[in-house]
Amino acid sequence: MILDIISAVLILLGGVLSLAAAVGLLRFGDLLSRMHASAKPQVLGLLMVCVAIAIQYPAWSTVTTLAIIISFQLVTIPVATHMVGRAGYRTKHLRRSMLYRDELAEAVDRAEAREVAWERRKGIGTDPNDG
Amino acid sequence: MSKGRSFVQQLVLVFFLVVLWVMLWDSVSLMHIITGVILSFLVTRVFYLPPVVLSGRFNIIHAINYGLWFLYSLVIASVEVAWYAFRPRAVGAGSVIACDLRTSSDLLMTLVADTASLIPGSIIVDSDRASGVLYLHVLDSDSEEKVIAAKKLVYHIEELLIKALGSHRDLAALKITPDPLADEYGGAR
Repeated sequence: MILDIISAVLILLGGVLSLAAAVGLLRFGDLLSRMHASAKPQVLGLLMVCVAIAIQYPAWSTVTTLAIIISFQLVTIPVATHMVGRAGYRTKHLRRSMLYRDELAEAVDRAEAREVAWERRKGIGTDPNDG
Repeated sequence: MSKGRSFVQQLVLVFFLVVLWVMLWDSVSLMHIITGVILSFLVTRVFYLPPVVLSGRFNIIHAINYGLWFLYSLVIASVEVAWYAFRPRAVGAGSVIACDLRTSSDLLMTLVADTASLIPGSIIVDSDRASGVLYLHVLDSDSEEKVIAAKKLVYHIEELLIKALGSHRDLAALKITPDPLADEYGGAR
């Protein structure tokens, strides 16, 4: 009985967190903020649902499968968000107004300045097709 | 790296692949283990990856400490991001911050990036492997204090991971710069 209540609460909370992910996806302002919503709250949500299932079916075969599901989720989510975030940033799908500070742009500027200085020193001249 | 050590690391990798295979089949039997070993050798030969350089140091107490801290921040930060989604006020501007990590190991850099990605509120945008800099996007960080707090979090993750499985060189680097923010902000913090 108590176990049933615990797993019901866990599933409910997991569902709410997944709903939060969906709502955030709609409401957040730009691509990078939306990446947070699509990837994050439901990691904990899925974890809760898996724990609830494990409580209901406490057998080794279930628990190992759930462990695999969680570990794959933990391993793949950073890679997926990183790839989308990086592609979005590099193709300039950003809203500058949604960025308070951008230290990556500062680093890119510095690197470009170095490159221009290097080309000037070598006497190559700037590439007309650049930037 | 010596040949013997990379062979041991290969064996560790194969061992974990076999465990994964047996877990997928839900039961331990000789047949599953044999097919698992064959498949693992095939997979590690066909999809060859550069060997992961382990530091050869592992502190179980600090690892447990890291695991508990990770779960705790996962819960806190998930609730926080969920609240941003549901609250009436729209989410504020974010920031892209640069974190100059003290470690130079690929494995640790990846683990720090993964942890920062999994804890809601920050995602990795880009990384500079040569100089060990991570660029992260932080949600709702539209003031100087929030930017500094986010950087503090990343450096804290790094500190926990170095203590758990960093090399002696990383530990020394940790001792030299216990507070990287102090260098950056002229000791104001």
